[in-house]
Amino acid sequence: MKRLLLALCLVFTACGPQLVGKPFCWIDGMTADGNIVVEYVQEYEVHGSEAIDYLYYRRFNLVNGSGRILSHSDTEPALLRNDCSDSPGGLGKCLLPNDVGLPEVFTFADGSTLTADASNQILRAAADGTQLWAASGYVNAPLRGKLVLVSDRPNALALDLQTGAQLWTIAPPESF
Amino acid sequence: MRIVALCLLLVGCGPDDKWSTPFYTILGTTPDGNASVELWEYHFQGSMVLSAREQLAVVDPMGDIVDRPSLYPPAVLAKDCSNQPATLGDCVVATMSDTNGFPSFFLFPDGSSLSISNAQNTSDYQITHTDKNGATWTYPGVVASPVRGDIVLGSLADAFALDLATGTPLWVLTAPASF
Repeated sequence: MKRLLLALCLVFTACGPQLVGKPFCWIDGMTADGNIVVEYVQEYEVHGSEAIDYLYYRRFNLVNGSGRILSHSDTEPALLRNDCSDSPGGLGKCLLPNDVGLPEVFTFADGSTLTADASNQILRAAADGTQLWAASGYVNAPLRGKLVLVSDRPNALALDLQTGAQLWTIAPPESF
Repeated sequence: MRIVALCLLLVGCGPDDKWSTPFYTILGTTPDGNASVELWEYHFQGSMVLSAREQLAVVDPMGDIVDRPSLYPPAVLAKDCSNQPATLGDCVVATMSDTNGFPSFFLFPDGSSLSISNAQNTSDYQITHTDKNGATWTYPGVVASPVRGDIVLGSLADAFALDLATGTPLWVLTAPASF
């Protein structure tokens, strides 16, 4: 039975997420009572029919001044990364800005571009350079399904990649 | 009346002490096509940020919030965090530089400094401390957090605390194999 399952597993590439390396971490900061919040990120590969997806899980450890873990919490949901790059394979593929500064230019397979500049302007242009639309905000997230997910601080917005039309907006609560 | 008097005696009740208007940032997309957004709120005293707290929300493709999975516990302090801390024990905030995305240089009042090398690969980052006499210590990693109580909190693959004066590791928190 085990061999059958293993054989089936080998036939199908999607045998569940596969671990990629070790978790990496950074320190989020210090709390009022002197403890430290350490954030871990774990990456998993998910083999689909077209491309490899990458899932990200995050965990927060609360560490005391002696380096002992007091508690931890895992955040849900996991985040997806698929073909995230400055040169997405298609219009619907996601964008992943890197931390090398602005302006950030994403060039799509059809030659069109999406540019986020230092003044928090988002500019969309056709392959011939013709400006298609402009909006204010930060593009700091993946793009899928031809949506541009944007934060204009305070709101979260989704814009139509082709037209720049605002599809939805979420305003923050007064406090939380 | 007594409560008001007591409140005025406490630092946290001053007229300049307030939480900012919350704002959203986008965190990413989930496998089921939803967006994960992050709600932020800063606690100010005057123009100084004392602490920050965050909450996640999941938004479906129609823009409806479908879940609020967690409030990041707890709020994280940010007090006197700058590239030029007032004293050795005051915190250093992670300021994003345009070249490498990590804080790069901190100058302390006594003339000592803490700098992060500008490496091509994250694994090559190095922390260098130079005291007022020019003596140095180095340690691989980045300083992405406050310095308080004369310790340097940093990370590379693992999180660690270093003695600010000597660079001696006080503790190293090794990442688990997976989670």
